Amino acid sequence: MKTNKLLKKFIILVAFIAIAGNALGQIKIEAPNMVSVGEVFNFNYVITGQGKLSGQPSFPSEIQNLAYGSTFMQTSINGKATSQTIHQFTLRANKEGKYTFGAMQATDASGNSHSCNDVTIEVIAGQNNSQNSGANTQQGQNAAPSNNKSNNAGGEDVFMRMVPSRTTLYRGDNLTLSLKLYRNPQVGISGTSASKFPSFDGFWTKDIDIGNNQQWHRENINGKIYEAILIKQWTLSPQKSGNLRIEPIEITWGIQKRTANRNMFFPDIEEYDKPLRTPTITIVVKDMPSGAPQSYTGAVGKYTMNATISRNQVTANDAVTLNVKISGSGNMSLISAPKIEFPSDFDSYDPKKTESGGSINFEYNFVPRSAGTFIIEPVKFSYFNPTDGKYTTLSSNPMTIEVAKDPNATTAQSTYSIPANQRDVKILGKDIRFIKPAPEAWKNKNSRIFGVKCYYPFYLILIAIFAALYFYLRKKNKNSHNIVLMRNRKAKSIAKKRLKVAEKLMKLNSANAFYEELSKAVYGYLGDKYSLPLAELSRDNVSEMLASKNVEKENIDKLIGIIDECEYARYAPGDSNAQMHTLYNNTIEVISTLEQKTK
Amino acid sequence: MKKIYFILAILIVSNLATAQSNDQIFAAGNNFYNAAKYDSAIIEYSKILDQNKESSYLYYNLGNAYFKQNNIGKAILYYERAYRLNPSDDDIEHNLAMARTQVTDKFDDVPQFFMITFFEKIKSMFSANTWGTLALTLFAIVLVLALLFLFSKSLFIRRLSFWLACLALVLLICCKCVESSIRSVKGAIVSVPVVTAKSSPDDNGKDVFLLHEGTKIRVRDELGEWQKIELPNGEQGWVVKESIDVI
Repeated sequence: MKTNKLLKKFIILVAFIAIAGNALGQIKIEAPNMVSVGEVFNFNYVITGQGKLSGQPSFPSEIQNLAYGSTFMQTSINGKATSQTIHQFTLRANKEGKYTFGAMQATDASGNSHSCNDVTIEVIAGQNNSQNSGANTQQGQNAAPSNNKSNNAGGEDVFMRMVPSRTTLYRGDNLTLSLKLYRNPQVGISGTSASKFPSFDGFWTKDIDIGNNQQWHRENINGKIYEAILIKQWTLSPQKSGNLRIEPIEITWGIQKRTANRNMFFPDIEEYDKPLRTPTITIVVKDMPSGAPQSYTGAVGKYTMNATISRNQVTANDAVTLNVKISGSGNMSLISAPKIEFPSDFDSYDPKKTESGGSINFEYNFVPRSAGTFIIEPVKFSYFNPTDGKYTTLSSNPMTIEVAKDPNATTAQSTYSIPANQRDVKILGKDIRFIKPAPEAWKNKNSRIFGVKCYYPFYLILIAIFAALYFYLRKKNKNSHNIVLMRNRKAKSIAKKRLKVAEKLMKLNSANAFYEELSKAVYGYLGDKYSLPLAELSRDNVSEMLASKNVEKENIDKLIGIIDECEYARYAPGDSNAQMHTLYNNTIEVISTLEQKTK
Repeated sequence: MKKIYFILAILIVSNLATAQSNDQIFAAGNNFYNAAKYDSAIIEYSKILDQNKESSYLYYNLGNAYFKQNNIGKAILYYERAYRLNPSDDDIEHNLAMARTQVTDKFDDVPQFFMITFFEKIKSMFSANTWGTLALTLFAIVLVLALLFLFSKSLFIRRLSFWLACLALVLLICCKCVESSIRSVKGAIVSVPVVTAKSSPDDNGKDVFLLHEGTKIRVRDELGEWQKIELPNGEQGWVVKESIDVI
């Protein structure tokens, strides 16, 4: 008890300095929050500045007042003097229970009075002698299992614990993790040397500022009183689900401990370093249920939202500000800006985020580019409420903005210059094209043509039609008396017939008859072939007539030649058989060429 | 003869009657689609398919409904079916391209010889059915020209019909080639989220590649419950029939 007096004084002094800046005249109680039955403890009224206790404090009957003393201290810090009076009562609790007492008033010199409230002191049955700590070791082991036995036989005098505010929560929600140091009230702590903190894998972390004046308070750990002090505090927000482990924190503490042998005046104090390690703790992180609304961006907690627009009536090309303030509690720092659908003709910019205790503000700036009345769709913000396990969507009212024409804008005036406001059509997004509203003609599945799966029948049908037509046309052709065609054919056969007679005559060597016959045959052939009237045909007009029937000049000349030769030969006989032969062959040749030409 | 007319009339009327009700079902499906009730729309559209009727618009709308439900595999399947029937429709092509962007598997476009791309373009002008019908029409033209050649009195017409018939015959052969080239490709779409292709048609085969929903592949062969597939890059493997839908 007395060993840590020094430290206690130090803490009081620190507290005192912290308070010193305030107005004078304060009264407060310093007392342990927990004692064991029979323990002697100090109950102090600390009056800062000038002041006196008005009256005597009354203590419950179970608490015995053993002694009273007072101390006066005066300190000067930076030339500013402060004084402090400590009224110390030495008490002993005789029975377990919770006792609330000690409310007191202090009056300072000028007659102002200040009061302090009751404090609650819990008295428990536990033994509180350092000699008995062996029995308590077993109990304390639960709290700090691996706390080294190697170091000291009376091991459990000092240990550390990580205390999470809860161990089961939703992903994205947050918890407070406190690192606490516990000691047997009889043990002193002189300081720390090495320390190692974990990286908190899977958590988003933020240090909590706990200030400098943390004080020891007493806690009942398994029936034994320990003094505890908060060393550090974090806000942790799990970023993934599952069982997340928080790895141990290791800090080496300097321990001051009274040994068993004491001399007359001073207790024999042993000092040593003791590395402490917190046990690993596991946090169960539940995943959020499915069915998050579209506007959900990861906020967990409980929030309210307020959206305000700076102006409702603007001119085009003026900047407008839309503020969305989200306040409440939860993973505030992790909230991302709600998405606002501005009319597509607005130029909008990325929102600015400002966070100030308990609320977060998103500032959206946008510039309407053309005149008209625009409606900004309601701002939607969704959060997951871990207390009821549901998503909540907050929605603002739709905001209307009246945009007047920008008088400064260069619009089309009297001169038809290039319109300055012309822009490309903005593509706002891509989607599939809409369904076809009207039906098409229905077809049998997998059919190829006319609802049939195969083409070949149609080919067969076509071939059949073709064959039928072919035979029909051929028959019709045979029956028809195509005069020209028939004449054509007849012409050749008659010519041949005529030439056959001539051939006979040639073989008989009767020259006169041969030439006459040949000439007749040629005229006859031409008459039949080109449908010329025989009566009109003569040596003089035959070439003209043939020319009018598009017969080549060469053939005409040949024909004329044959006719002439026949004439000459008839009246100038006596020539050989060879001449007849040549003429006959020439005639055959000419007629066959003519036949070939017209074919 | 009267009997035949009677039967014909009945056939036409009954055909009209089913067409009528199919149009109504189609419209009902469209209404569900407009109301964003995509599952009901799909049920309606499928009723028409169950009657063994199809049309490119029906497949297109079905594809849209599946797309809206984020069922990319089915959406691509039906867009492909719509494309098969009607390759020149702009909307079908657009939505098919949109849906394909959602597919996980990507194959690099190998730059092809310009003649091949030209041929592909020609191919995609018409559906296989249209090419086949075109070939049939050309055949009819060839026969008409043959009759002209055989029976015309004018030499000019006979010559002309001869050369035109030759030209039509060449075109006919081309159409038939294009048609069979389209029909020879048996495409399929992966219908399950992930499927592993094996090196042989049994479960113990070595895994050769992994395919994701919506990827288009070619079916090369079939053996029992297994189908041999080929990727656009030429890789081959075997998958179970259930994991792909033939277009």
